[in-house]
Amino acid sequence: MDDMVLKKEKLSEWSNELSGYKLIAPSKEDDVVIFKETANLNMASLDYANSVKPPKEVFFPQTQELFRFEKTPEVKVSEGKKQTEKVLLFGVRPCDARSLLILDKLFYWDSEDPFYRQARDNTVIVGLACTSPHHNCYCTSVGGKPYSNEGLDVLMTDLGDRFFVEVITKKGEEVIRRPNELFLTATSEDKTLRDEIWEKAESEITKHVDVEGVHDKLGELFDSQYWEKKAQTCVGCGICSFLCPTCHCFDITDEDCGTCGRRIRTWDTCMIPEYTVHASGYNPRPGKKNRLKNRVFHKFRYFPDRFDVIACVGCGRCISKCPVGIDIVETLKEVKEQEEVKD
Amino acid sequence: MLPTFEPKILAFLCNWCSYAGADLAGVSRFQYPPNVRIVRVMCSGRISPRFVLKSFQEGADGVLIAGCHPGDCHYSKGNYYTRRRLTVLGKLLEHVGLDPRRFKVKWISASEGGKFADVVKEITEDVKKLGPQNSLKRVDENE
Amino acid sequence: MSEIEDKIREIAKKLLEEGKVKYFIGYAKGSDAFCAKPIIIDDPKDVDKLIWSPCCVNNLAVYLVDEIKKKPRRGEEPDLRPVGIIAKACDERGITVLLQENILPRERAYIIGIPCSGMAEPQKLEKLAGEKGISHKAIYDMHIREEENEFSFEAEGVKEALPRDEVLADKCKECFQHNPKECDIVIGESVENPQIEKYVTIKELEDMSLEDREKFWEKIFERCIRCNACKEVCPLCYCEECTVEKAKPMRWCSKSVDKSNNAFYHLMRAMHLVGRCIDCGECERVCPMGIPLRKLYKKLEKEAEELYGYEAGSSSEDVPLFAAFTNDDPDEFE
Repeated sequence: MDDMVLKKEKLSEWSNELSGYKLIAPSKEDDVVIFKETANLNMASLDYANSVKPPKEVFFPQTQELFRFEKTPEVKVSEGKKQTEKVLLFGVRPCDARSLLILDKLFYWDSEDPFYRQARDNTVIVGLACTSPHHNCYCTSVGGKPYSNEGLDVLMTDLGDRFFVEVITKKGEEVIRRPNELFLTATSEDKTLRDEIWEKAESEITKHVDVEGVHDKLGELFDSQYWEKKAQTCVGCGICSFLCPTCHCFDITDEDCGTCGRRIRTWDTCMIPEYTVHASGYNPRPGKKNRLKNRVFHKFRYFPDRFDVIACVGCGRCISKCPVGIDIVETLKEVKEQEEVKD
Repeated sequence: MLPTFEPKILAFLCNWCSYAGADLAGVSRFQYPPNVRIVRVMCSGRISPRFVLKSFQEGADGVLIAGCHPGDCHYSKGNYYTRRRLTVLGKLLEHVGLDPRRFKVKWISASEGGKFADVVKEITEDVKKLGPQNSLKRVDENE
Repeated sequence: MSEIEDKIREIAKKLLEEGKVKYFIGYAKGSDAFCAKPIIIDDPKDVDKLIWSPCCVNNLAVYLVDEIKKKPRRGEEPDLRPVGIIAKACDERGITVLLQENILPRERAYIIGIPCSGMAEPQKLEKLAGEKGISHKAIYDMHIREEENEFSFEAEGVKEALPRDEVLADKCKECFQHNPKECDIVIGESVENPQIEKYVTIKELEDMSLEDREKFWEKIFERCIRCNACKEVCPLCYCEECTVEKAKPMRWCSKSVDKSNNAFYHLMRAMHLVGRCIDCGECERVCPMGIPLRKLYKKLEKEAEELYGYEAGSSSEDVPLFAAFTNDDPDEFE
């Protein structure tokens, strides 16, 4: 499909054409941008570097009911609700879109996760290239670009009064049906302008780290004193993992109310002691140093070992929101400078 | 809907005074609404705020707590602690928008069977008027 | 401001060199300029990393709890030397509550008090920097200072005043205790406590109708993601296992994240902070979802004062609010 432009004031008309789709878009509530269901895309808030909470929850909700059970008096078990309606997810940043490809590897790994699969299959992702990245963004260091189209079905770029629209996949074509008057063919000027905006956005990313060699270096630093020093100020909250677009750990618990109940899957974080504590009471990761180390190792060593990709997309949320200013980019730089620990 | 609404009211009664008061109400054949479910605790000082919150979460439309009059506590001072704690809890619940008529604390002695019946009547009527409690109740998207 | 910084470094150096403290908890420059980060140093050579600026918002008292909870390795003598810590007035009140509740033995902390007339809020600074069009590169090297009660910043060689009212943290605007009391040493001159109207934060809420308040909190609680940050940064949330995450013998608060369980989480925390919360505002600052937690705790602070004349963190000799009673406490229960 050719590149197109969509006038911003036509956003609402386009939304109307998308009947049959549930629209989810970034919305601002008390200065907090999160993805929420909206009636019309013209209500979406577009002046954000990135949402506070990543859009991963559309596919991997914080609370997912797996099944429920009931005894009345015979036992009845029913499966949890899957996403059956079609969803159009609007305004996803390229880093978050890339994170979904990383999550795919995990959720489609040894056995396919049916809840995740269904949500992924039924969702069209319309991305919005970054025009003014946040000062903590570092996507270019981990293989991303502020205008990358990986993981997206449609990529839009804000050109001021209009969007530059690129259709990436078949799924994307379905939501941008031609012929209609909404989407006009892009001119070469539009394209030049888009390239300028892309270039400017990329140049605005000032946080960099060379991740080359981090994987091997980490292997040498498992027993390093460095982690104890680094974790001294960590308070052990779950902000870094809950806001991370690639963190995917979950916990499964039962909720019961006498004769009925349900089994739920909820986000978990490796930064709390309960994450690893055994039924016996023994905890293999007893200290903050073990937990902080694990998070870095998982992203930059264990995950690449298994899936061949770093589990970090450089969105910078964990840096911006850490209560005590622990900066993953700084950590990686320090890791590279550490001396190897031999027995 | 409202006229047929029968509220669920959970009552925590202290073993030494209020439970005996409820017993007396029964023995004396005082009529009171059957909407109240009684949980006996050894002292009103046993009531943790989480009991109250959990009750509301699990679907109670009102919560009643009753203990010995201040000065009469079987354990001398249990209900004095209760008084401070639950006064503040009441203020907090009101601050987050729960109607104060849904959360009542009363001092009922073993001889006040009539008072027990009156208190239950009062809270049941109030809550009936207010309708079901949804502000703290657990949501079930499947229902 | 830089005099205070020099003084901090000097004292830290002396304490560490003489071995009087085990280590020193202070502030260092954060990776961006808006928020200083806590730092723990045990080497006198590192004291130059310590800073003092209007961005030193963290309440460091939370690390004292970490220290107390540390268990020595088997066969190792515990090192019971005090820990050096920088405390603003609100941090000091937190330490006072820890002393009052017998969590922290007084001799385990060497408290360096700093009178403070307010800190800048990181979010507000970031917003202002955005409006002024400061480049990303400059954000990292920006210097934010306070001199003669005026905030200013320096970026790319340009120095500019920061409007104090616009950047001051909300909790600091409502602070009526600027001077730390329970200290081993005080740096800087004491600041006059302002005459301000207390509890303005909750005034609007108190005037609302019950239904509006319910709607307000419902929307707020729905947003919570239960990352536990409010609980973990709180110096007074020191329980080994919190009531909201306890799973044995029963789970009081389900792991399900919905408005009901989130409300349970926050109301339980609030009840545990009555007469203890010292309004350092850390919970609200760190909340990624912008939950106005101070609006919850401030109400309880007000009730504690109005009903029982109790002020949290005013003296380590006070009996904690809920551990005491008088025969003539207000009684609404009849």
